[in-house]
Amino acid sequence: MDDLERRIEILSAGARYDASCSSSGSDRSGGNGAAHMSGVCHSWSADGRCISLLKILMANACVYDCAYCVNRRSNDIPRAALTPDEIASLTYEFYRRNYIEGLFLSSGVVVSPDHTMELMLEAVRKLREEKRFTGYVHMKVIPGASRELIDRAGLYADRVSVNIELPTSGSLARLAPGKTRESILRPMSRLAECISASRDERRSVKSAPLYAPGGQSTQLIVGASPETDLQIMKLSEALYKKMALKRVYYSAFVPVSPDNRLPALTAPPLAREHRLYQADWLLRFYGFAADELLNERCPCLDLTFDPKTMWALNNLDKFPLEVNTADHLELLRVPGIGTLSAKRILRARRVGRLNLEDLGRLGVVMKRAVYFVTAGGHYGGLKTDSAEAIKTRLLEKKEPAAVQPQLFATAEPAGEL
Amino acid sequence: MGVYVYDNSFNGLICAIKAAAIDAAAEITLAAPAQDSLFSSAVEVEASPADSAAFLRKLDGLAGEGTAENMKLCWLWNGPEKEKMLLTYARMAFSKGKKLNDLLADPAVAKVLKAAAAVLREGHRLKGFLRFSELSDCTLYARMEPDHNVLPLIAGHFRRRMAASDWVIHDARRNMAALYFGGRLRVAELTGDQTPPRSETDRQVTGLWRTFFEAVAIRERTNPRAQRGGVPLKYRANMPEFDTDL
Repeated sequence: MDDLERRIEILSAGARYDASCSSSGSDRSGGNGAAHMSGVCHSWSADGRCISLLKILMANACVYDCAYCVNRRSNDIPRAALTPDEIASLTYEFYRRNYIEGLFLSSGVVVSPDHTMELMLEAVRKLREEKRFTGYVHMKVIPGASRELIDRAGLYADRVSVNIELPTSGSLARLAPGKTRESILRPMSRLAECISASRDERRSVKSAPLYAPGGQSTQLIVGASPETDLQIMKLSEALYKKMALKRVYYSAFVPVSPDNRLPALTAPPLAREHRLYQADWLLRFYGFAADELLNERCPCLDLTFDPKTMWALNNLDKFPLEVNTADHLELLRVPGIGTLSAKRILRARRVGRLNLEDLGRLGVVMKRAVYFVTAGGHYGGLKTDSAEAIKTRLLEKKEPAAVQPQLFATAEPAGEL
Repeated sequence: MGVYVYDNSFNGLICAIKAAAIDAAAEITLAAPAQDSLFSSAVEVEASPADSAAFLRKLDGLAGEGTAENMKLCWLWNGPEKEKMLLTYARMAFSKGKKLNDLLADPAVAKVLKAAAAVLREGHRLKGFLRFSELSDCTLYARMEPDHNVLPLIAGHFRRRMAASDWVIHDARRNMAALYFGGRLRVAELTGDQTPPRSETDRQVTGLWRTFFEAVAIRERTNPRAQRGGVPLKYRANMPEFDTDL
C-alpha cells in the first residue's frame, strides 16, 4: 500500500462517524460536473449507509480532546493529512468515474481553527477554480474560525454544517472541554444569516453569487450523554425553526475509547437512533410537534413501536378516520400512511370513493393502517378500541428484525423530493 | 378481430395503437415476418414519427400532461404484454379523460404507472451505480446490464455533467450504447464485449476508491441487509468496489 492510499484509509476512517451523506438541494452546473436536485446515491458501504460523497478529513490530528471522538488528541492512532491539491485531484478523479456526487470535507483542528479552515477553503477553492468542478460540495465549518473564513465557506460549498455534537451545554462541558455551546451556535447562526441574505439577494439579482444553496445541517451524538429523546427532539425542533436547518443528523454513539466519562456501551444504540430519525421525519414532513410525541412523563421514544403508531395508540379517540373525507394533515397522522400515499389518496378519491381494498394499491401499509381507518364506513380492524389489543396484533404481524436503521441511509428522503 | 403488426420501434407502436384504438377487439403484435400466414388479417402499421407525436399530443390533451410520458417510460420497461397494457391505457384516455391518471386504484392504470415508476427507479439507480473507467485513449467507458432499457433516460444526465470528456455508456444486455464524442451524443448498436485496455492511472484510482470504500464503513454497524437493499447484487458485477477478483 503506497503512502497516498494509506493516508486515504486513515482520513476516511476518521470521517466515517459523520452521518451526513446527502447530495441534494443544489442544481449547480456549467463546468465539470453538475449537482442533482434530489441527490444521487452511488454506493452502499458494508454498514448499510449510502455513499454519495467522498467523505474525508483534511487531517486527523486535533488540538481538542473530545471524549466521544476517535480523532481526539489523547487517542493513540496513526495521524495523516492530505494537501489541498490532493483533495481536489482525488475528488475530480472519483467524480469523472461516477464513483461520487462530490466531496464531504471535514477536518480535525490542526494548529488552530483558522489554520484548519484556511486549508479546507484552499482545497475547495482549487476544486472549484482549477478543476472547474461544479458537482456537490459539503463543507464542515470549524467552530472558533474567524467570521471572514466562515463567510467564504458557503461561496464554494453547496451545503455547510457545524456539528452541535451533544444535546446540552452541560454534556458539552463534560465531554468536549475545548468547545462551548456558544462557540458552536455562533458560526451556525452566522451561516444561517448568510444563506438567507443570499436567497433574498438572488431573488432580485439573478447573477448574485450562490451561497450554500443546499442549506445547512448539523449532527449530534446519541447515547454518549444522559439526555432524553424529549430534550433531543425539542432541540431539533428549535434548530429547524430558528436556524432554518435542512437536516439534523443523529449518530448512535460508537464506543471509540474506554474513557470513564462515557457510558459503558457494548454496541451503538442503533434502534434508538432509528426512532429519532422517524420522529425527526414527523416534525419535518408530517406536521407533528415534539410535545405531541414525547412529554415529561414519557420522555423516551418507544423502541418496539414507531413514534407515529405510539402517538395514534395514545390518541385513539381521533380514530378511526374516514379516508374519503379526512383532510391531508389528518391522513398524514395515520400509521401506515406516508407522504406519498396520503397524496395518492387525495388524488384517487377525486375520481371515486375508496374502499379498504383500494388503499393497499395506493401504497398504504394496511397491516398498520387497518386499525385506524374506515373506508366508506367499513372498518377492518378490531372490534375493541383498546390500545393494548392493537399492540398485540401489531406485534404478531411484525417482521423479525424490522428495526433496521435504514432511514438515514438514503442520500435524501423521498419526502424531500 | 384485427391484428396490428408494428416494427418494434416506439413510434411504430404508437402508430399501431392509434390504428387499433378504435377497434375494440384489436391486438398488437411485434413484426414477425416468418409467421405472416398466421395473421391473415394482420395490418402492418408503418412507423411515422409525425403521426406518433401528434397522437401522443392528443393523449396529453385528453388525459392531461404526463400521459405521453407514462407511455414512453412504459415502453422502456422490460416486462410481458406491454403492447396490450399501453393499448388499454390509451383507450382509457378516450373514455376517462382527465380522470385517467388519478385512477390509481384501477388495475390497468396502476400497471402502467407501476411499470413507468420501475423504469424511473432503475434509471435513477444507475445514475449512481454506473462506473466509468478511463481507457488508454482517455475515453471513459461504462458497462451496465439494466433490467429495463434506461439508456435513453440516463444519457442526458451524463452529458450534463461530463460535457468536456468523450465517453461511452454500454448496455451490454441490449447491445446498445450511448456514444458521446466531440460534444455530440448518439445512440447506436454496439455488439461484442471487448473494450480497449484501461489506462494505468485508472487502475490506481480504482485502487484508491476501493480503499476509501472499505475504510468509510463503521465495523460496529455492519448491516449487509441494508447494503443489499441499497445496491442489489445484480448491479455489483459492474461496480469495482464489489469486485472480489481485483
